Amino acid sequence: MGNKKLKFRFRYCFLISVLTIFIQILSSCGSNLVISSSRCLSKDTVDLNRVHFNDEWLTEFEEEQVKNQSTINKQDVQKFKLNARTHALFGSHLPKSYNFKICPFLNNNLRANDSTNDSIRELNITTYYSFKDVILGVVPIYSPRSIEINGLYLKDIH
Amino acid sequence: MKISTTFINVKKIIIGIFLLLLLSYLSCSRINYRTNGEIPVYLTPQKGHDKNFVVDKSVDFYLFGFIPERHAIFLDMLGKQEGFNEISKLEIYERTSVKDFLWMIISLGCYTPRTVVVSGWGTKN
Repeated sequence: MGNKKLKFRFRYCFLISVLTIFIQILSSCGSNLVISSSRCLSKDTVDLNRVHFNDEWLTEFEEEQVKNQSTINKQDVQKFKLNARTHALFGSHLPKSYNFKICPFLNNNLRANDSTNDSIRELNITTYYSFKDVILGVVPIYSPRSIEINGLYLKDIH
Repeated sequence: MKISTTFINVKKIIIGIFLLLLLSYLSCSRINYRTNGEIPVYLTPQKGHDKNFVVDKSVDFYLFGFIPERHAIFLDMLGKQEGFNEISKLEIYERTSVKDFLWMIISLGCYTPRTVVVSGWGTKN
């Protein structure tokens, strides 16, 4: 009787483990994230390029690189840091891959309205699991991932 | 008595494997995308950028993604390696491939790679 009970418990435990591993495979294999520029318009200025300030000392090589670019006053620049979270179910099986459209996100959070000629420069994008993501992702049904975006916001100086 | 001890051991092993898998799933892999100023990198479409490129890059993490703390990917270097002077309209696709997942399982979380695919448009000389 005792042996039967043990066998049943062993089978039950084994089944749960196999099921857990299967869910893990499902979720891990699909944890996909796309940082997309698909809705970036030509009129927007969004780039990862370095900004050169008026009072900055440049090497000969840097001067050669920026000779056709305009330099900028420090007071026209504002540093920003934004955080976003991607939401997906079962890794990223639902949806297949989370599509993070960076330009609409930046426009919504930084630009006052669509008509401004302000530009977003020196972008620095980091994807990571925050502590909250780890806690929420313990059960692999919901699998969030965080995105941190740093950069410089340049007011329209023209 | 013997069966009971074996059962407890198997149970411990299964719980251990489960916790390792859970840890590897929750790996703290932190990937940073930036430039080094080698070539201009734009997210918006640019005139004359008519050549497409796709770069597949494996990013290595160790011990559930704790080492290194942050993996930097220089997007301008990727474009330059492909022979471009400028790149734009970038798409960054971060995923755990089947191969990455198998490595994670075999190494029990000691090696947790991720695959990054960067695609975009550019111009060459």
